[in-house]
Amino acid sequence: MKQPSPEKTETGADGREIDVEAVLRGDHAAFEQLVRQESPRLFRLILRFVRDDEEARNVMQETFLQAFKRLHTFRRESKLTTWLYAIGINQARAAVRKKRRYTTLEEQDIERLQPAFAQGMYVDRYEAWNPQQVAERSERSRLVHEAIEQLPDTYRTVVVLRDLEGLSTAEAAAVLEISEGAVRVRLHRARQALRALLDKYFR
Amino acid sequence: MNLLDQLRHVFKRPLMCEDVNHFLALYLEGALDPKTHARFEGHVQRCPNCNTFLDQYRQTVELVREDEIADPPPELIELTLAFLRKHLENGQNDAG
Repeated sequence: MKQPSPEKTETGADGREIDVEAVLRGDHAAFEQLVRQESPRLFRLILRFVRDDEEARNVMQETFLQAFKRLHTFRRESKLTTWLYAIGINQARAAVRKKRRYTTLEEQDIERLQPAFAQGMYVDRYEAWNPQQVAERSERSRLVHEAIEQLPDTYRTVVVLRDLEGLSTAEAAAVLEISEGAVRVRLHRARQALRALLDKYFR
Repeated sequence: MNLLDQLRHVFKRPLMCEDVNHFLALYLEGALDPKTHARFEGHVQRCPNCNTFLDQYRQTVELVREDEIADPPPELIELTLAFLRKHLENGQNDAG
């Protein structure tokens, strides 16, 4: 069987090859393979936004449909999967905007949760954490999950892409269409905000 | 990296806690150049507050990474493929 040349393929979320050329030709079997490989990660990404299984399913299906219809617009400036995640996140954001069911922190809250400095030194004294003191692992998980949920979309997305899905800074930048520097700044600010939110539980 | 080049230029003076804070993410990624890495660690060893903050920052990242959500059920993939076939066939019929 003829193998596709390396530059015409990319590695999917499950580590297997995606035949990008065949997908772009509109080959249904290749696109089906893309759906099989990328559904789990795409579903998780979308669910982080819409927070409802049923809605995440609908948004994911619509994402694949839109992607298939828009294959001719893929410019090869990023990986095909990166382009797919961008469509998914945009679809999820649109779905959330329609409903507006959840309140999250505002930009000024994120600023307030950053450490303060005076003459280059921390203003506050920090006490060592011991998350194990929250004995139940499920309780720890709940506290962390709720803290992530409180982040505004712009910060939560970066945390999800980088820390949870393990995308590189460059890939996250391509998905969000922002600079790598902006990804780094948002990730750092998001982690510092999460640290501050969790501090009271784990000291 | 532009940011690093800029900061390296600024950092002819000793690192302050605020400088160390700016470098936390790059430090955890192992992305600091060897000289800055050594200065970072030197500061953290001497500064208990930075040491504690680094530990909290590292634990935050580890705790976040444990916040996994379940994969979709396997039937979702088949339902998605059925959805796509239906819509794409309809699209072709519409076009024809």
